[in-house]
Amino acid sequence: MNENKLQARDFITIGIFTAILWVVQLVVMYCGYLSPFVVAGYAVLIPIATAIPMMLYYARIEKFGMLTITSVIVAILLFIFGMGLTGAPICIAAGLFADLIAKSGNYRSRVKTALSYGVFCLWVSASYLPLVITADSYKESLLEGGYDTAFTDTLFNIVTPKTYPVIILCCFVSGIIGSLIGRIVAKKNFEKAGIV
Amino acid sequence: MSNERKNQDITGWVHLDPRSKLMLLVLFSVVVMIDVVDGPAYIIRVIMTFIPVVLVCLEGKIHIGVRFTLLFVAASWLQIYAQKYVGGVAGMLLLFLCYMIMQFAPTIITVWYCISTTKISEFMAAMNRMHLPQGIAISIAVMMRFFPTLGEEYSSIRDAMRMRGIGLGGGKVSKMVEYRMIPLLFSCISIGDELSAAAVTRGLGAPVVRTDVSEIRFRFRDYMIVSTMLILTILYIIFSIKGGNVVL
Amino acid sequence: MIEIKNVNYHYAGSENNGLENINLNIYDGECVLLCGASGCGKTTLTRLVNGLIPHFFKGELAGEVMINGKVVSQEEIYNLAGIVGSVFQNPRSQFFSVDTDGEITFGPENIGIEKKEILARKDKVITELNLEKLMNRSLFELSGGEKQKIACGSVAALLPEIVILDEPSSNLDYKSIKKLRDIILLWKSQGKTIIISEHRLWYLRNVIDRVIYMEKGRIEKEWNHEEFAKLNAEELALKELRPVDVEENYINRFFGKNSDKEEQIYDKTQNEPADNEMVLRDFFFTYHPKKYLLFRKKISPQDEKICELKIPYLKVRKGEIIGVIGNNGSGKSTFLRCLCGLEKSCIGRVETCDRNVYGTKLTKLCYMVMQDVNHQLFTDSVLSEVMLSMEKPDENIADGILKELDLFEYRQKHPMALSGGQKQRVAIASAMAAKAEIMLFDEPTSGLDYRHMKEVSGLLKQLSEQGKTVFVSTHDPELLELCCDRTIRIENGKAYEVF
Repeated sequence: MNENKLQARDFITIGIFTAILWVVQLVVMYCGYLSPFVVAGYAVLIPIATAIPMMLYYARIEKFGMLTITSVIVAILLFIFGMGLTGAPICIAAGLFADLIAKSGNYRSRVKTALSYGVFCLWVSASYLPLVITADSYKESLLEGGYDTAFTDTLFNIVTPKTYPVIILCCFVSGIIGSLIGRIVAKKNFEKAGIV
Repeated sequence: MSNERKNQDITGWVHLDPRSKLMLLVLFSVVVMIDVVDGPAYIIRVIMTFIPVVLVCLEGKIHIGVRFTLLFVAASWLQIYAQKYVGGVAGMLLLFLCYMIMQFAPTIITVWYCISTTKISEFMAAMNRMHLPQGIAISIAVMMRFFPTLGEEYSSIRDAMRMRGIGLGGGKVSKMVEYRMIPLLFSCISIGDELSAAAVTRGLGAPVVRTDVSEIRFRFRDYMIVSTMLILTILYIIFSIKGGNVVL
Repeated sequence: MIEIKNVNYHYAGSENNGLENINLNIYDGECVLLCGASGCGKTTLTRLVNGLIPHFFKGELAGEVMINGKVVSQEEIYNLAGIVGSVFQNPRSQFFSVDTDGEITFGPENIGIEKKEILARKDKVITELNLEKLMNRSLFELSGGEKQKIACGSVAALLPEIVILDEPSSNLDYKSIKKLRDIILLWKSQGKTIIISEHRLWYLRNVIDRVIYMEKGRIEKEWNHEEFAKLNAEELALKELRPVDVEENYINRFFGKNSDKEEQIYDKTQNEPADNEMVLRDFFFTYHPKKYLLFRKKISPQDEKICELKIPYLKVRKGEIIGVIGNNGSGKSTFLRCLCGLEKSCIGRVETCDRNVYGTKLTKLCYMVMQDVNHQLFTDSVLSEVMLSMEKPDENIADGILKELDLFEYRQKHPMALSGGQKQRVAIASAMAAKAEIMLFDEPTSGLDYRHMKEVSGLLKQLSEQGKTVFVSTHDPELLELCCDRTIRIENGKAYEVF
């Protein structure tokens, strides 16, 4: 038996944790309904909120490919939810690199896991990409839609092609912070309960 | 009680092929991707929004369709109203809320329709036909099966929280998140392990060509709906380019 | 034939549930029952045979397990799928599909059997196990017993020579257990080898050929069918096993159809509650309310026709232990949920001589220990779990409660690291800390061995001595006998007094 090949059990784990990841991020998105500023804060909030389940996921990963498949499924979901063509490739690339980084630490190194999760979180930035690329027309459509000039200006001050690197950085850094928080929670709960 | 109910097939009597549903989702996502607020393209968008709603109603879930319609109409109306009369931050929040509803509610109802009317075996068959690797198909299938489970687990946890009056976590956001997430993750792990054990003892993952018992094929209605959606999408793209809403 | 030779086994990272020096031969067509207290290793033994050990669970395995001359550890687990079928304890987590048809064909599809053959097998299984009514349904809307039937069907469709059942009756009611017994008898008549690990022994008494009693990972004793049937309750109790004569002694009494020993509870006198009494009034509820568009209406007694729960009046004494029985779907759990204020549209209220409690305030008065107690443990230590329930957290009081429930030594442990019975006690401790006056237990003994069942009954008595009123819903008549002051049976949402 090839121990490194993914087996049915691994695929089930992937499915379960991807479901949790997606639901948690949807919940954060819903909170975004409350305020436009939360939307701008997605780059910080989603990586931190999903860190807890993801750190548990990392603790269960032993083989290459699981993170990549997760990112592929997330990319498909992103596509369906209309953050499509540009977002999906970024998401898959982020997942692949995250997987490679974690693999280089044999999925056990703490530093590599934190780095890997930081990279994985770049998928969040993918949802901003349409906003950046089509900024002008998007802004116009928002204005036509009756939005305040002040609001659109604020939003597009936050999200412009120039600040896109900042958003990427934001995702990465909050990913790392999130992974630290996630690890603390995991230690406090899952390790203490002896299930990791 | 449930026993007396007629055994209605999960797939409903419209029974679209899973691949048509996938097509529906893809075309729909294209429409969501391009933002349009007026003109002929907007009308097409509204029409496309209501195709899945009609499908939902056809399955006898008229109350859901009606609720969705009410929500959608209210949001559109509110948007116009807010544009004209409500200024400042309040107006902005209102507009944003409406915008999000109009943007995502159609996708959510479509996704819900597609998932709730698809049998896992049908889905696996469709993936097989499309030559998707079996592993990814298993993962997505588990995910589809797991959404309702997550709902069940969460509602039990919420009950327990209500009983102890800790729903608000003593006012701390971190506690609110923790009390919900930790028990949920604990049950997900145990359910996941039990599910895996049950699945592998029944041969999941055997390196053989999986048999597909489910009949999946394109019927006349599949062609009808997919071609309608396709034509509408193309028109939508053309109109929105003309209207100055650049595609990507 | 199954041969287990000199097997020793330890789970990785755990001292518990291992096996020591197991030698066992099980012959073709034999029906074997594995029994013993929780943690004796009977589940581990079943896992050796279906290949989950060593393929799924990690640990150290020494010795050999062979099925028909093939060594299990050298076979791929999917090759065993057509030979060994397994039915597990939890009906909720063992199905892969969302629909019943797909679940039956799931196994054969996986191992690539021809389509025609699969459909033929499916039809055969459906007729044999009487699954017609369950076909074409969503698995999420089935009851536990129905799910377990589908699980049996799913296994049967693989035509295994060996069937393993791991505590299959844990979540089932009396009716479903009888159906499960019919299925096992059918398999036996088809010549399948059957291995059952179980705490409820009564329904298997006339099914099994041989009983293997385990203790601390070893096989301690074997009985054949005749010897086993003769064992009386005391002898079994010494071995911490549940009685086998449940059926004739209790079940006919408690579950018999509307015998003259029953009387429907209704409002005879409209009595106001005396000092030491409580009255439960107007517990009406339905899961299928009148179609509504935006807002759900409260349910009133006038809606009785559509209600699944209709208990207009029930008088209880403070400190009484009340057993609540009835088949799944009869309204038992609904009653408990309404009583502790979880169903908002229920207008039921609890009256005492000086108070009248209704609506969401019931959550303060009542506390339910849920069937899956994992859902109600929120924090990272037993102590903080108890403190969480207090209005004014006070460590001394919390410690007092923990001592009372024998949990003091675990106060810094994570609740999820404890055993099932200990978790239940943690939940009880937090209920006591919340000063709940009515305690509800939803099937606290499902899947417990005899010793733990006695422990639970002791706890309930302890609570009642402190003046708490206890409602306990159960499918175990032994428990009713052990501790309940009175028993009510719920059928079609109506409550009957059982004498």
